[in-house]
Amino acid sequence: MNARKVSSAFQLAWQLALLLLLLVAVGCMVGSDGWAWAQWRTDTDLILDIRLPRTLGACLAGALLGLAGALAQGLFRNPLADPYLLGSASGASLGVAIGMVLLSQLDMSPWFVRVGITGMAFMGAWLAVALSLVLSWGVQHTLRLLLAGVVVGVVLGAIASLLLVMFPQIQGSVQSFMLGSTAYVSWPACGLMLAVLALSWAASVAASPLLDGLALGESTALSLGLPVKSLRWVLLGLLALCTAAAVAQTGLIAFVGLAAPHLVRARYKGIHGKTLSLSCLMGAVLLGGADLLARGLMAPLELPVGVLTAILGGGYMLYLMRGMSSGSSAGRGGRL
Amino acid sequence: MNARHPIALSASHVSVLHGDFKAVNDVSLSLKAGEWMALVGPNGAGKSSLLKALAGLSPASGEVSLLGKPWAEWPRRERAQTLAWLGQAEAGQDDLTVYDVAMLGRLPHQSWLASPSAQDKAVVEVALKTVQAWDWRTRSLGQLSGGERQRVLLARALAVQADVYLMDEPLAGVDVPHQADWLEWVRCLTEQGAAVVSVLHELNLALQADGVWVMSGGQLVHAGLPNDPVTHQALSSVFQNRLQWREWQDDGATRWVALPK
Repeated sequence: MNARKVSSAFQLAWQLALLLLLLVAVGCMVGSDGWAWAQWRTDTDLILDIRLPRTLGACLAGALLGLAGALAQGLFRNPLADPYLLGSASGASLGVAIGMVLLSQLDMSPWFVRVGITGMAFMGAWLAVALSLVLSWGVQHTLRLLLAGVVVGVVLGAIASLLLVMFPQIQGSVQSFMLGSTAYVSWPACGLMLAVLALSWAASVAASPLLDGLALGESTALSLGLPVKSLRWVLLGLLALCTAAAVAQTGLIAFVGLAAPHLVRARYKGIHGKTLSLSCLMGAVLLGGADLLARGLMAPLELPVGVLTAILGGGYMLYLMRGMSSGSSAGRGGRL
Repeated sequence: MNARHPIALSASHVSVLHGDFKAVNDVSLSLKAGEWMALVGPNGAGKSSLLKALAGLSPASGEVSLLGKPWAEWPRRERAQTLAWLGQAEAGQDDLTVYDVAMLGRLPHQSWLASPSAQDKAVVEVALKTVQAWDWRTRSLGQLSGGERQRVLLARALAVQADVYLMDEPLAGVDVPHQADWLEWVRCLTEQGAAVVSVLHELNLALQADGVWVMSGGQLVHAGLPNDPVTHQALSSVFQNRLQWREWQDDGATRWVALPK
């Protein structure tokens, strides 16, 4: 039996990897003037300095969000959990708003401002998750943790909105961050995301037996001898790290973290060690594809990729709801 | 699976608090190796709380010993190999397959990150065949009925190959033929030296056990044999005297049936 299951996991992994390679290749050929195939030979610098890091960056951010989504859904045992559940999105927005306010007072090079904003987004996302953990008194009670995440998200979001009212000059930049964009992803950003992804993926797969155990309830996980509390801390830390790394580089990108694990589970059902890895690949394909569409659909006008993922993700959620109402939910399709 | 100690599980003055409410109040008991005890009582009597305390899954005062060794002295993995737990209506994420769920029972026997060994696979195959779930091993839990899912969860517990099995309502949603099969499996386990405690709401199944523990109001009010009239009296008492007892002969042996009154 397992030969069949493993082959279906490998088959899906190969399909996604091939699709990813294709997306990266096409991504190198799509610019502000649309689908420019002929530029492949002539504009090497443009491709290597702008299009390739941007395309790879979109794929890496998507992989991070896909992994974070699969972790969130496994940890909270909720198929609707997404990476922003613990307030990291609002925390990152607030970090960006504070960064804009502070850096707009100083005369700095645009590169330094970019690095500073990215760092502030990262810190904001991390601090929001830490605050959720403190307010919920740890990781023991999932419901308390989720409620704390909602409270932190609302409060930090309100503070960010207050800053926008007080400093209207930052509205454009913060708005752009909240819409999500892969336009400014550079090689160093790709390197950072790749390092975080490699670390988080390896650690998540190593800790994935906890998610398998938790799938049958906390008592069962404990009875199987799993160190539930410490592994839960590890996985929550990885969830926050992946989300913060992606959000800091690309802004708020909706639905990729939610949809990637769902799309994987529609094709492959099995242990979390494999679904986590497949969700990485699926997230990379989703955001890589969305980035291509964002660039090419209305060229030379570029759509914010976050808007595109929100529209496509919203459509996917409606599709899921339709599946539920027609009775093809968990019982048959196992989608929700 | 041969028990290493004549007393598989013992509890001394165990109490469990849920906030201000004392769910289990000063319970002491002892379970021999190769013995099956049924834990019965009305809703809210504290059966599940006691079983969780015995399994070390919820904070409790008092002392619990597994195979003669106090609970706290057991290393986590060794304890998980020795005691198997089957919880009440275990939540199941629908995406794990039947085979994956059963293989989870081998987790305490596997090294971290190691693939399942040939022995693990053989044990899981036997466990799934025992509960007649081998044919749908590639199906996900979401594709199973409540009773089928319960059988798969039982296979997960059987795959542990433990010395002690604690099962909270293992037959919830299971049809009559498979309830009869479950009785066979439990007898088979006890013949091999394992000890079993099961919370059961179906009194007539509980009366098939080697002994009956009766709980009410968080206390263990009676421990006795299933055919003992004193046990029947204790059961009638905790169920508001709304039971009537009928005697019948089964292969020359006298058995009792409890009916609602």
